[in-house]
Amino acid sequence: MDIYNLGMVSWWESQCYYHALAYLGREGIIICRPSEPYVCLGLHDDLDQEIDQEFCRDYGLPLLRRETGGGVVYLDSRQIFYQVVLHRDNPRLPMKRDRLFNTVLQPAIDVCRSFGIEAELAPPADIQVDGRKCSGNAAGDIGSGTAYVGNLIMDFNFDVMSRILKVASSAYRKALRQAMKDNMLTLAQSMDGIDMHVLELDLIKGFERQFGELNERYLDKEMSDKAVSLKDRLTSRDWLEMPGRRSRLRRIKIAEGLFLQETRMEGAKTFLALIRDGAIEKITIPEDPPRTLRHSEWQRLHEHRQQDNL
Amino acid sequence: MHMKDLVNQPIQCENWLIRENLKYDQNNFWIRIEDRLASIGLSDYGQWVIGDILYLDLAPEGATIVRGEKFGSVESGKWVGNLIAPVNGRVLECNPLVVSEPRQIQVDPYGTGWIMKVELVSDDEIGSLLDHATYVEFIKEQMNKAA
Repeated sequence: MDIYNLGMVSWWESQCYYHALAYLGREGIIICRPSEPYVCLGLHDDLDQEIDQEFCRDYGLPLLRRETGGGVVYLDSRQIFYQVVLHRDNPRLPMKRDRLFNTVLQPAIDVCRSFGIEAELAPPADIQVDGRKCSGNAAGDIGSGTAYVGNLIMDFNFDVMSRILKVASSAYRKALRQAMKDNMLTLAQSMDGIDMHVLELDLIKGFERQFGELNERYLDKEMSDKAVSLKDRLTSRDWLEMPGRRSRLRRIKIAEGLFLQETRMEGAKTFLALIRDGAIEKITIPEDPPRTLRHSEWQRLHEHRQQDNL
Repeated sequence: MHMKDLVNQPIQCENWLIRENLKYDQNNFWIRIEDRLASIGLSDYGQWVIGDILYLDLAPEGATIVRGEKFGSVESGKWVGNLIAPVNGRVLECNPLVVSEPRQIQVDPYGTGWIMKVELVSDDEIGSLLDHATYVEFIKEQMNKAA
């Protein structure tokens, strides 16, 4: 298996090289970091529903739609990316694609554990520490290959992320920001003096344990040219505006099994429910300041939710 | 459900049901052909392979689909996969139920979970498809590879 340890690359290169490998029918593992922040949509995200485009324009955040699953993410240089591309004929690639996540995510789990962080896989594709997400992952069949992509989150800008996502009110935004802070863990919160270069090398050692000997490779012309042509497509307005998954009431995934969702009682205003593994954990009434729901209201809402099979 | 389905009981292959009266392909679609009309869905095994289906994107009605080429995509968990057309034809109808509730494919893959109806380009489309016995062998082969 080839390994491309690219270090810091431009924002679009951090997505386009793995697409290029897949479309070229090649295999490889890429380790990289984007030098500039940007916003990345999943293949089926609906731009208009998901993203506050005005904020992204004002903040200078470019947009790109990748060809893998999962939702909208804010990405910047404080995240290390690992991207594994396998040819569809590779016998290691399981029919049930999500079964390879445990292999692809193990190096990142090992890195966390080597620093005393008790990380574990939260199926299908999160890495969590005490229920808090510290790595986002996705996969997709692209060209003649399948790509598994993910990141180790050194640090995260919760303020910007909560501004990127389109929500109905400032209360929703506050609740979203809080839910992310409560349920995500950055490595910077657990480790002092992170040396990104060391983490990248540790990740590579981890991939060697999973995939055997790795051949160090550098970008070649075929890969670079393909990446440039893919950048044009993955960032074009037509591609970004491609209709996607829409929901009647706004529902944002925070981590595996955890959603912040608008919900409505009969003839009443909209509430925000933090739903963990199908059960309401917390209710916020979107007033200024937001307030917690009274017990009687909670019960009524819960009954209503059961009726609606929310 | 068709009357002939009532007399054609599904057969069990490993953990999945396979209907005898349908054709299949190696991307795990079933195809029911009546004259030039083909109904297409995912087999019971196919829906298991994909997993919990969250979203389905299909070629629109009126679009031409080409055997072996992508006619849609599916998202399951954090994975996105391509749907590869089993026949050549023109899309007559996409099942609105599975578009709005893709999990219906898992609930009833051979019934209400059908995906699309297609007007076939020619009569010889059937020749490239697998009968149920060959498809059962294909599944067994896949399971052996995975073991």
